[in-house]
Amino acid sequence: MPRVQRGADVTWEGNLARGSGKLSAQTGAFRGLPFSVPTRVGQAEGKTSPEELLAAAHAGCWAMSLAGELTSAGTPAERLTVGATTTLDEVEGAGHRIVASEIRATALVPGIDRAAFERAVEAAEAGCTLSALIKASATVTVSAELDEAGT
Amino acid sequence: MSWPARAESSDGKTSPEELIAAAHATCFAMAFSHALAQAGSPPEQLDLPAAVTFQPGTGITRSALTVSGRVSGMDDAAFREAAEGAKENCPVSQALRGNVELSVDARLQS
Repeated sequence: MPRVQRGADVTWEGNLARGSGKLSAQTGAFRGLPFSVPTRVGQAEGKTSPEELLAAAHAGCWAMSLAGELTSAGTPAERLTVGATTTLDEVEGAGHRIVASEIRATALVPGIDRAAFERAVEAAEAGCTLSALIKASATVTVSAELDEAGT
Repeated sequence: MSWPARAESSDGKTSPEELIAAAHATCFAMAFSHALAQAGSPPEQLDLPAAVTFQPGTGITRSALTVSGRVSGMDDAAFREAAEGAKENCPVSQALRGNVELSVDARLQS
């Protein structure tokens, strides 16, 4: 498959403490999202941040990875709910670092048993390109549950 | 979000790669603004587009940062040096490094 390029545009005005930025996706999926330092490290006040965007990328990547594994196993998911939370922390001598990303998934998968689901989750984690990237410098944890109430 | 939109034509849908570009560009914007402030030259305005390359089967291979802007009282060399430092130090760069080729193209506008 040919390589793919995706991009985002940012404008920033002003100094660090009181300045702010605007973020737009080149696909047009989102436009003019505000971000700033105070809302990155303190109360978010509805503004996005690099860490939230990284979490969004990780959750999206992971959901597609699991959907692919379940389909390959002949048991496509009816619905997947995937959340990711990334943690920015101050690391002694290294400044601020992204230290962890935590994935939580709930899956409604007709006709799958627990063991097969667990295999699919392991394969999804191994195959998610974002998990591989983040693991090089931070901890990735995964908790995935089968939604048995819905089957 | 969907696989065809991720690997082929986006059709106005976002993707993990676009979100990584967004995360990297916002992180770099703040790190660079910080570097300029420390050099005593806070920016008036900066434009910072970022592009991420995804090779299906391999993963994310490259994140290319770009910055252009107006900063009074700073020369081109100092602007480029600040951009290199911000590229190295921002937390998203730190999270990507090792696996992803990182670059920055910095242009001071007069």
